[in-house]
Amino acid sequence: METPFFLKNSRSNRIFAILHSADSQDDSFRKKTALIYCHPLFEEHQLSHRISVNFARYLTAYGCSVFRFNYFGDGESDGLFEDASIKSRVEDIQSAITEVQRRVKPELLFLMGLRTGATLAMLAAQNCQKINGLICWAPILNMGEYIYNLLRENMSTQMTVHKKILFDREKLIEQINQGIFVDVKGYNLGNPLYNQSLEIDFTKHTLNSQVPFLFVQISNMPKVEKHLEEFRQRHNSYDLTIKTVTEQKMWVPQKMVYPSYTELFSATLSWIKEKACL
Amino acid sequence: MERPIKFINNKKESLFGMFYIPDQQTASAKTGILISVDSIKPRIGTCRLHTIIARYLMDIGYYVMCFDPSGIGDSEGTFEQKQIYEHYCDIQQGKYLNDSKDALDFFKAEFNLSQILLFGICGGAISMLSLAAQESGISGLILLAIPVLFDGPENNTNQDEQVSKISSEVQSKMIISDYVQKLFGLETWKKILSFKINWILELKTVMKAVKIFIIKSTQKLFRPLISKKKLNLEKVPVSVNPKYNMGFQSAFIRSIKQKNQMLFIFAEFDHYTWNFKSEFQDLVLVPGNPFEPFYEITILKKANHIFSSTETQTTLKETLSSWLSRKFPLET
Repeated sequence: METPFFLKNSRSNRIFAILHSADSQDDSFRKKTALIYCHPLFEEHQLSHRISVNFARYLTAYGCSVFRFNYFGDGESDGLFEDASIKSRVEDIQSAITEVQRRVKPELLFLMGLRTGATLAMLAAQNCQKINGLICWAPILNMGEYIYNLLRENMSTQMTVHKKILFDREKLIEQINQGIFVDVKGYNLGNPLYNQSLEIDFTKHTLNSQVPFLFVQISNMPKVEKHLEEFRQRHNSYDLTIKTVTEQKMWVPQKMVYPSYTELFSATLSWIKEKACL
Repeated sequence: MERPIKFINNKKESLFGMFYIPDQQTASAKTGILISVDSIKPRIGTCRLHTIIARYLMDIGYYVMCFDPSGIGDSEGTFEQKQIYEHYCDIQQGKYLNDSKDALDFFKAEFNLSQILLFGICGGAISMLSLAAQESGISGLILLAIPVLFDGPENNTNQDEQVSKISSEVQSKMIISDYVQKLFGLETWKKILSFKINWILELKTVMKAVKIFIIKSTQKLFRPLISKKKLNLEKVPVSVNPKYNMGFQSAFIRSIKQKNQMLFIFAEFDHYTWNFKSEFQDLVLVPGNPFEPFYEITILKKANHIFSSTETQTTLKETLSSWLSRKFPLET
């Protein structure tokens, strides 16, 4: 059963959510299990949306309930994109955790995200006792670098409209710091999102969470990318699994839409089952 | 108030959507606006535009419904794996028609609406126009960036794809003028002398632009003014472009016959605008044509295909508000 509804976050804003309830307990899940999915930011959310829905239905069929939601300022939740921050989005994840515990009462709860959604999930998992595992699909470890590179999109737009670059990256950053929003492919990028993003760098910092976690590298390269390998080395005492899957990057426009992502789904499910103490 | 909804389509699949219900329900007659998805993205629209527009329309007193067709967004159904341009062609040929009809029926039944308008962007626009052409009881259409040409198969390189998009006289004139200006620019010569020019792409672009310009100009000289008496517009295409979607033209004519009021909104920086102009507007919607009482055309300056900037969206809202207040005012 799939139920769409609004919940109130910690700031009394409406957050849109859909709960995919597992109809029956699959034999492979001995404990009642649920998963919260954190979507990526900007248009990556839209581009990857259907895959997240397919994955939710895939997991539900195996007996794991899935909770999907939009952060404040995204999707059908209240607010404007530019009014949300890293902090507000992490708080929304915490509200989602509370809601899932209230509605589903799972014995095991996993937090999961794609790209910047994975980054937000990592932040929410820190110092959180309520989750039993963390799944990160193609995580962005250096949020500052990611946000900085997005400014290139604005410069491309300037070329289209003005046939030249009026404001280079440094001037755009200056505008952001002056409280002016910078358009990045249809999204207003400003503070506090920009400055809060600069503080997030898991290529240097350690994740403050002892839950088991799974990184899934989604690319056509079987070898684990350098930044993930370095993360593993810095977290060598953690229960960290890195898997690589050869799948299409669903967060960017593709010529062929949509493949079944069988390898990605089954790799993730097998890890969840393993951590659900089978 | 916003209410998430689910309803069942003709294939017994659950489709998801959202109702936007105005707080001030003082209007004696309820006017509803059904918003279609634009392509293969979910109901909130590219850059959340549908949600932004739906909330605005709700705030000014209109009932709005957004929904995901089968296989899209949150709705049930399978999404067939295909090349993206094949999906676009399917949409332009009516892929969403049945689900849009089911959504329309559900919307009407829920609120007992006295008037219904259909709203769509790009693929959504052609979907809604097609729906209006076959349904009675539609009062108006708001069509943004409507495509009149089918997307073709993508060639081997992205560069070829860009060249293949040159299809209108206005576009080709802009490109030729741009190249002439560049020839007098110091930056261009710096690039030429430092071998930073992709000669093959530049030559392909210029040659295609010149070719299109010559063809379109020649057609204009020798093609007589299209009149309703001489051509059955519901059956005979006005454009000779092999990619022309005749479905658009016949849906337009059928909607006109049903006296639907239409608002076409286009973006300045969008080749769909210039395709519409050269393949249809310049041939059919010429000054004095018999359809003038039924449509308006607006081009938003500095707008792109997805109407993404804050400035564009402000202008878009003003355009919608102005047209709605004139054509479909809310009675109290």
